[in-house]
Amino acid sequence: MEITNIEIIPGKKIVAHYGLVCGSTVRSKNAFKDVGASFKNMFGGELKSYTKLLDETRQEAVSRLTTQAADLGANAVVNVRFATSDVAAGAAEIYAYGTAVKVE
Amino acid sequence: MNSDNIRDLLQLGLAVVFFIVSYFVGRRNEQAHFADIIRREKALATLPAGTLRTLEERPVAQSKMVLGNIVIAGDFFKMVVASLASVFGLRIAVAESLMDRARREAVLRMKEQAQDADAIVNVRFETMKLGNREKISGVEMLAYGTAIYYVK
Repeated sequence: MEITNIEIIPGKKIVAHYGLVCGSTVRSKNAFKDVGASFKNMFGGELKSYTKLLDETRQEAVSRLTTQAADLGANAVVNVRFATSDVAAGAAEIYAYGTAVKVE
Repeated sequence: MNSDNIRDLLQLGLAVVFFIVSYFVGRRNEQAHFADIIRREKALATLPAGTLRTLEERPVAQSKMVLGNIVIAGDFFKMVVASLASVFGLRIAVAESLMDRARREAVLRMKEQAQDADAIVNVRFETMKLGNREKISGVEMLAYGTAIYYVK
């Protein structure tokens, strides 16, 4: 499955469009990681556990996106975009959407 | 002096100590981070990343989407200064440097996903504020784009 965030798959020709596909995940934080993060908040800097959590969540969203595209018979997703929202305290939704296409 | 006053004084003293310590620790961390960013930016300067969607008129061998993210938090000093500055509607310089660090770090992490690519096109940024609670406050910065490998 090829994924890009531009309108084409460079070097390939789009032969069919399957419309919008999306993948979403909602993840909550880990209370134990939060203790470390609140300590880190004192001196600033990167909150590594959160970076990792959101990265994994985003990959999960992308894999759901590609699964949905594959179910439609597509072999690529173009113009993928991300959206995020803080759903509830300590939970984040990551949303990926794009257009499923078939390329040759 | 009753025990309430002593407790209040202790809390105030602790806050002042944290304020001063976090200024020095935070400043040292920020300088170290900027030095690291500049070093890595120089190393990856040969890989251009831009916001354009157009490619060069050359045959493309491969393309893939690349992502880079970071969750960053300000220190106690920055938060106190920011909340004081926002009373008067001043420019919050301490937050500007924090955002700059995060965005440049996100771009670097994105580039590091495709170090042997020829270009990264259509780079977009996404920002999310984490937790509006008092305990944790951080900002997630995401950079994503499409890495292009031309036919050699």
